[in-house]
Amino acid sequence: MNETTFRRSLSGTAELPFVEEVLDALTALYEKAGNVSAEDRTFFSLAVSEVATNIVTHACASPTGQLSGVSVSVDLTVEAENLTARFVDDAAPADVSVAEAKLPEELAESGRGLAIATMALDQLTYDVHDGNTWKLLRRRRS
Amino acid sequence: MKLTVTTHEGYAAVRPVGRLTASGAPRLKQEVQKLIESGQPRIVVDLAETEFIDSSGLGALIGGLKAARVAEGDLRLASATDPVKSVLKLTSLDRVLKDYPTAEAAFGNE
Repeated sequence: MNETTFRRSLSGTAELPFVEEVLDALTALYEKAGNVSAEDRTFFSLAVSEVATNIVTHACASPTGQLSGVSVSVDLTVEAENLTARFVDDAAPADVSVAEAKLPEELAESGRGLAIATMALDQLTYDVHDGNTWKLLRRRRS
Repeated sequence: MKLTVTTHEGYAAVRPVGRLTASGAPRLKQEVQKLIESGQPRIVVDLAETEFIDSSGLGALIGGLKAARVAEGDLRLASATDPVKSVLKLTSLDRVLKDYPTAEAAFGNE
């Protein structure tokens, strides 16, 4: 496996089109790296989509987000051993507990996002310090 | 995401093209609701060109499944791609959202 790190950074307003932009950027990064397995791509993109959607949903529901929009940025990396993402936004702190995220009952229509993200990742951390920071890491399986 | 709806004898097919995420999930749910209201609660979601799904997309499928069953129909999946199959399996939703090889096969001889 080569030791090159592929990076991509994006920033924007925390609205749904941003989620699609991030997923597009991630797809482009996988293509550039060229050797990311289908399983790693699917599960890492899944976790990224869940966290990004969570940020956007929280931002759009917050008073700040409704007034002036919440800014969000993300750094994506494809490394030899890991896939990582780091999201930073300036919304009010989110009331989330990553450790307690679990799948709801089978026929629930919502509430799966963070549970899915934790299942698809090896590490998911959420910190509140001058905004919200989410760090995602998936170790590449192959 | 693009969405096409086609009607067939005994069922209607909804075909999302692209990624089924929070941006497109409400539209899928609306189309399914419209079909049910128009008297067609037997619905196949044809996933042959759905390259990715997340929890928002899954939520729309579950919502459609419940609404179809209330109307004495069903919502079934067809031709799920490998990424979509992986996500269904990860969440154990492959147990409630059945995937058939083709849209035609989903309601078979029923």
